[in-house]
Amino acid sequence: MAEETGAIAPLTHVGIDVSDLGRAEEFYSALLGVKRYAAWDQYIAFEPLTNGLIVYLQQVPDKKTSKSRVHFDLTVSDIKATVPKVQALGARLLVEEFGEPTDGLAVFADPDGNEFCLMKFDLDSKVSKE
Amino acid sequence: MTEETAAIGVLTQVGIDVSDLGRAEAFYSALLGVKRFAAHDNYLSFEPLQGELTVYLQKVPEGKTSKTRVHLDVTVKDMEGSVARVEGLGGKRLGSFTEAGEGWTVVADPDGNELCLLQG
Repeated sequence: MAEETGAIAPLTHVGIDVSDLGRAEEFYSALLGVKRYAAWDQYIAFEPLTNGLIVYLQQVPDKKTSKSRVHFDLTVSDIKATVPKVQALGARLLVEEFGEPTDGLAVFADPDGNEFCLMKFDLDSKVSKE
Repeated sequence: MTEETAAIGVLTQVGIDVSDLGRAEAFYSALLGVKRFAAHDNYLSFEPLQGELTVYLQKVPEGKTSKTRVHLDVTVKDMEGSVARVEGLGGKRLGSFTEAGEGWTVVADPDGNELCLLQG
């Protein structure tokens, strides 16, 4: 298809529900390498990531009751070396696997239980294998 | 603080659980203005958005049972027009809010996953 695709809207933010803003700020600041940009009411927003995406935290009264159906993946260069660093921040390692189909994958829960993945994932090589 | 903050990892992908890959592809392709990049097994990924950010869909057998606790926001210029387009794609308006001068509308994708339209 050569025609221009008209986006309804660019993806600009990812919001994460947390129970303790301070604890979550410490966690995500270290994980993503970003500093707080603004805080108001029950929100803390970080400065934009290198791709322009803004991650923010929102304190909510309700607790997590089921698996996250929207999650993010972090790309890292060395999964094995990174796993203990993430654990040291207070995340819980849920799954760790190496080999096909990924080049390495670790699934974590953040201090609130929200799942995210670490990947060493070369999308280009994956596609070329099909 | 002026020191460099070393990220542990780079946030490069956002994955969304869906029950019907084709239906979700139609929805997110139009919403975000991206085309399919690759499909394999239970996965369908879109071409990268701005920077190094890829959205992908994964087909899962289980249905949604509670509120999405990690959610996406998209920024729109024309709120009512955008909500109408989202509804035309099979999304649903859940509510509109204003706080501290910021306006947004919460919508659900065809699987019920909540996302917000922010007034840009």
